[in-house]
Amino acid sequence: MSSTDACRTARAALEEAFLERRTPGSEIRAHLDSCVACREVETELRAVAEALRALPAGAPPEPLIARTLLRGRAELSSQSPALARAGPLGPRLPRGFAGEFLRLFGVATAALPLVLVWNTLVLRLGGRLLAGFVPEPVLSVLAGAYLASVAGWMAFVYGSIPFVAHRRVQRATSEVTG
Amino acid sequence: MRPTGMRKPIRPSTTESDESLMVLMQRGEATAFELLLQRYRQRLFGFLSRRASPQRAEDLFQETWLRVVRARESFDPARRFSTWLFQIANNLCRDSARRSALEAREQAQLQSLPAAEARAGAATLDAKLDAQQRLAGLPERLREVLVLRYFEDLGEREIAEIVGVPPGTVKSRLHAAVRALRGETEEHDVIY
Repeated sequence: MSSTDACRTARAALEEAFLERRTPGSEIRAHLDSCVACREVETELRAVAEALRALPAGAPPEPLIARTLLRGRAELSSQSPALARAGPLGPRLPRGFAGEFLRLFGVATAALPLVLVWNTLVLRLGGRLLAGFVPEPVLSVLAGAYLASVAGWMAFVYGSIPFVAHRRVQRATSEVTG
Repeated sequence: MRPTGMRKPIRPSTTESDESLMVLMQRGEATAFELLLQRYRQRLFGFLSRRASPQRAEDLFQETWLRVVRARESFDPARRFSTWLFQIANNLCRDSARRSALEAREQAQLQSLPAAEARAGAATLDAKLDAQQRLAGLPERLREVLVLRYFEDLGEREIAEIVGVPPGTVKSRLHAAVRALRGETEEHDVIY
């Protein structure tokens, strides 16, 4: 390594040591013993570090803290998300609700064709099986009752999506807050 | 009986993480705000007072916390609160430095120091060295990284996130800042 390279390496190491507030390693020390210019840099850096350390820590004045607290609290109460955006149905929905709702709705909708195919099959096959020994009007009533129950179940499933989504988001939030 | 739809109040404790306190603040909990302010009062004020004049640091301190309150909805609890807080404070410092004509004048005066004086060695870098002035004389992009590293003890990655530059740029700016503090002002070192 040429002396210029050695000086460049040493100076970079000195700067690193300065930034990390530690003394340079033994390798650099060996170079400093033989290089006046780099020793001068080290002395300068020491002086700068000393001067920087002497800078006041800067404790915030108590009236400033009191003022900030007051303004912060006022700001919080004036635009508290839970109160400011509360509609006629109560406080606003929690963060992440829309995403969770859409996710659950998507899953339910994706399963819809399967449910429709299954119920069509049940109605057709059931109709054929029962056609021999159940009178026609009774069959129609049975089919109607079956369809009504399917519609009821579907209304229940789709209607519960917002509530399930709300519950899931709230549970996730309470996990974050401990 | 509690009216329907009302949330059970949560009392933030001193053991909560900063991020949890932010989530509570998002729900409008004033106590969470107080706890965060108490936790960071010293660090934040120290950071600001090394970036601006004492009076300006006070204004920036208050403004930073108000921004925290106003922007609480945008805080992502998966991120570190301290990084977000220093990001807000750093942006305010940059804006303030840009606006302050006085600071620009001081900086111009410092930069016009005769090269011989600036390059003076250890003999002139004695106890009389006005560190605050030298710090104030650094270009904004060098001062911000130096303060975050030297005084706040933050790593290069976190500084990079706060100032919005790659970690490699932070590293080279840090070295340029040290050289500038020593009075060694080489233009090619500080152009980023």
